[in-house]
Amino acid sequence: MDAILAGLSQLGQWHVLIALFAGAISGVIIGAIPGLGPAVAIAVLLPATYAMDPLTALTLLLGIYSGAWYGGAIPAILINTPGTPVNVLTTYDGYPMTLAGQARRALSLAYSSSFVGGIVSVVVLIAMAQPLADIASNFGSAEFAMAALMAMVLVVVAHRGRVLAAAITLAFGLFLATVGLETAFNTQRFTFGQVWLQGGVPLIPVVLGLFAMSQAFVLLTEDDQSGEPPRLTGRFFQGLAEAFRYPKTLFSSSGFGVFMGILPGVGEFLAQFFSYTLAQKTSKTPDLFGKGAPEGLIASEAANNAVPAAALVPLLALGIPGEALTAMMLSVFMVHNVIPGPELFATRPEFISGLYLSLLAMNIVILIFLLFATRLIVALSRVNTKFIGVIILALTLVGTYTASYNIVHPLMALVFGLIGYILKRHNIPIVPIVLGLVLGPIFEARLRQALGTAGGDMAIFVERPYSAGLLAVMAVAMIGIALTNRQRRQREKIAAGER
Amino acid sequence: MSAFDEDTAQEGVPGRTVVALFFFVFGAGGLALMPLQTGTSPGDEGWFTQPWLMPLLTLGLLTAVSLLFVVKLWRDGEFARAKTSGPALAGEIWIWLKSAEFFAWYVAYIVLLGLIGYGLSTFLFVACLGLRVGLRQPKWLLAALGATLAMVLLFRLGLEIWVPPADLYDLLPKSVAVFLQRYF
Repeated sequence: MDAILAGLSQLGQWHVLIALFAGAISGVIIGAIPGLGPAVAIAVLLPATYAMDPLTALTLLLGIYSGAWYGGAIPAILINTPGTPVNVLTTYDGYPMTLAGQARRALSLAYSSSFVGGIVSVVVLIAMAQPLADIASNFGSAEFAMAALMAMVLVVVAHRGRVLAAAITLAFGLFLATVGLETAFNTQRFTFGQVWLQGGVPLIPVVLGLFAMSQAFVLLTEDDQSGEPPRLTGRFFQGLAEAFRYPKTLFSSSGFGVFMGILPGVGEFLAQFFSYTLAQKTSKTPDLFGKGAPEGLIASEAANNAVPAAALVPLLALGIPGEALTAMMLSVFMVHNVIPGPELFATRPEFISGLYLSLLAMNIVILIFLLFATRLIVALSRVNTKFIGVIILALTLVGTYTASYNIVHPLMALVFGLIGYILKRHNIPIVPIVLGLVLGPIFEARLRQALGTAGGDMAIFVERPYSAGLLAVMAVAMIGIALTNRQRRQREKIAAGER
Repeated sequence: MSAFDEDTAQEGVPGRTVVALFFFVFGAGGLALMPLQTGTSPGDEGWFTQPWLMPLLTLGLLTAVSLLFVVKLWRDGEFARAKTSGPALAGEIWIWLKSAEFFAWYVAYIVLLGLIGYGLSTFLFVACLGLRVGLRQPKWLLAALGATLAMVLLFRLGLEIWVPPADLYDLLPKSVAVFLQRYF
């Protein structure tokens, strides 16, 4: 009870409330504009949040993260263009419903499913983060090293069909993390005698380049993608209850989202894929999927929106980010010397409670905003994507130059922007670069500590039960992907033989 | 094509072979440079404390997986396709180089920032780059003005982001210069 009251007093601060509303509302708007997305917005705002207190900064960024998935459903349903990449499956059933004159019904279903997914994941975060942190309080360096390694393995394995490409970009990110002055022995690593490289490769120019600038280049070099949405009539309240007519789909998809969100590196794509597949298999009308099935829409949206809060579980409990957006948020913790992990729950309970309550509140704010402002947001789906590209580039200046007053940082961001642009054109994932850059130093420090304790004996990683358990998870994931690939190759061979 | 057939999502775009080779050369080159670009710890604290360990592991991993990727692309026939579709590959590389034009725009924006201040340089950047990419109707000039005002309000007034002093403001009366420097 004391913790809840402490959390309420944290949430009641005017700057936290402003961050809550600003983050939630701008998140929805950002999600609704195809081509923008939360990664771009968070990368742009990240340097500015360093000046805020940690709860305000995280509330703002989490509002954008959560709100964008809600907002992304709007263009997915109305103009068959997902607002964010994770709303792809929403187009499968949302757009056919629009074509059938049921746009308002589809939007209402998406909102209520997203809301349930969001609330379920916050409840799971509240229920799981503390027990997991209690377990993690028994962790030593060996376990933290293996947890970081597990996050790396899972982020590669999660890129189905692009495992090799993901491994390459992860290794690239891990290498970038080694550049600079190695503090233990004051050794320069790959600095080429350049003073500006001694501090290492900074995160901000990398994320701004990879996510924001590369996206700006894509938008500036491609034709305008904006579409003409249909006119919406009627109110959105009426359809909200319909999602609860499919409780099995609604709650199992939320559960999938939570589970996949907790697993480092997995995230929204696999969550919605598995939820959608399961919903289709268990549906009484599987043939309707892809043609306007309410269950398909529910599965996709509930799973997507269950991920953001769940993704905070490994970050808060272990200090290990599972994907790019929480990796960026880890930097907010670090700037303020708030170290996520087991000790945070003991030393800053009011911060943890405040974070939980702000997550609950932002889902409510987002839903209410959507119910009243959808028609206004729909207009934003029509913004010319070339203009968005120009604006993204202009916005990145604040993060690259004015945050460091150093011409090297914008130039570095431009180089990463070009790298990101080329990788995107070839469908090579960029998220593992950021995870490698963030997880690399954690892994190196913990590996050294663990092996130092064990006198260099690698057996420490299998002798300690939690560490061995994490290794087992990695082994299962790798065997699983190997078997899946083998089955896929066999299916392809059979299909080729039939032709 | 399903949303998850990621291997084939960009099938029409050549150049993956160049990307794969780039990472292989980057990894192998890094490994070759290791004796020059990393060091050895002076004491005998163990192999795991050596500063070269992580660069060795990461560059070794990068070289190995990019080699596997190169082999995969070779077996899938992408190298043969790239060879026969030379103009398409050259076109793809030309697209990469063309995107470097934005380097120049961005550097010009940074230079202008120090000369004429954040607000004016942002407006010029948004308006001129908009014109360059085909946004030529008057409404886009208005949009550029609106976007600039929004950015000034957010970053200069709201978040109080510091920007370097603009040379142009030195030519104005001091009170105006101080106001513009602080808020614009």
